[in-house]
Amino acid sequence: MNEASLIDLAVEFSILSVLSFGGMTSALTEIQRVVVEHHQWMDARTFADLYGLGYAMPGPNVLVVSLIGYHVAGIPGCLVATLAMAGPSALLAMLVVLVWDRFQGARWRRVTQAGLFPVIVGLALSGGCLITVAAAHGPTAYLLTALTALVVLKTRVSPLWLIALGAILGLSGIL
Amino acid sequence: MTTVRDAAADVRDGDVPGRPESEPHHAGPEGSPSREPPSLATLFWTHALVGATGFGGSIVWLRRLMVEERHWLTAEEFNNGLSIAQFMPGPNVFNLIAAVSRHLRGTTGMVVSSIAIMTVPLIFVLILGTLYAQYGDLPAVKNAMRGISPVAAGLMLSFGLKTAAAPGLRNPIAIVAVLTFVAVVVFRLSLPVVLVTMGPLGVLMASRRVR
Repeated sequence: MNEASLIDLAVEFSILSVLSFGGMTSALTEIQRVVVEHHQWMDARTFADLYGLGYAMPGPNVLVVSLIGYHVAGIPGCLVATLAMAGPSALLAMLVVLVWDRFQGARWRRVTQAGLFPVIVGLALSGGCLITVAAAHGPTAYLLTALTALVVLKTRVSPLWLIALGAILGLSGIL
Repeated sequence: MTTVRDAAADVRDGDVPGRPESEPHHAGPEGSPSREPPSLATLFWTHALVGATGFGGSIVWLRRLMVEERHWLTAEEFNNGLSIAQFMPGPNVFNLIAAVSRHLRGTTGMVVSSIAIMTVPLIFVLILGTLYAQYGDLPAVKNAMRGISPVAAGLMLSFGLKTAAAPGLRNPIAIVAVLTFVAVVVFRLSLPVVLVTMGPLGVLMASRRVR
């Protein structure tokens, strides 16, 4: 693959990394603009397919970017795009934590912590609800969601068994 | 969807100490329990496992690993890391790993964990990416996912409820959690918009209460 696209991948995803407030989900429109419209690395359908594939896989949702990189420039592209998307923002988070820790016990820190926490709770709960609705193909799906939540909250059974159960139900056509 | 109402009720109730959480394992009333940070090898293997199994968001599985199974972090330490991770730009899994790395072998630990969590998924990328390039459509993957996504949703829901059960969500400020929920689920506001409105609101409300 040519070097130009590797550099483009590195530059574009590094910029996205430090600007994508709200994480991968909210960065999606901008990623699509860069990938499909600006550089024309792929058409909109391929982008949608790769996006779906990225979410289908286990692991961090940055995988959507890994797939795009792989599609554009093979294994080097995959590595460059992934590192560019995850690296700069993680370093930034680390710097913030360094500052954060220097002010341990400071009032403004406790205020910020106490003030941001309910937002995180709201986001976690709404994420759960939105995914539930998006994943529901019918009553069986809702039942499986409820069963999973119950098992995870009330027992120490590993959710992996439920993932396996879900995969079997899906492959056998029940879901 | 009774879960939504239950969730909202949990948020309103606020301080619910030691609910389904396995908190009793922690020694000490407030601060850090006495614990040894995991070795780099342990960090690698556990994060590799989280990466391989992390359907429905790796953060859900990281919480399970770090707080509930291995007790590397208290729920509070995890929540603080999560707050920073969510309010910073970029993929939040790596932000979280970076934010809690000072409890887990520092920068080296952060790099090891980040590489580990991507190892298995990147192998999937190579396999599925190649298959996709050849065939254009992968029906078996789609079918399996139809079954897996409701499970992933259930995991995410339980994650939300566990986070909500943490102490620190006291009565007046819990309204910010409810407003955030409504903004996202009902009004479908974009995440950046929610963060810049609800964040300051939460901090403003907290500044009147925290001494």
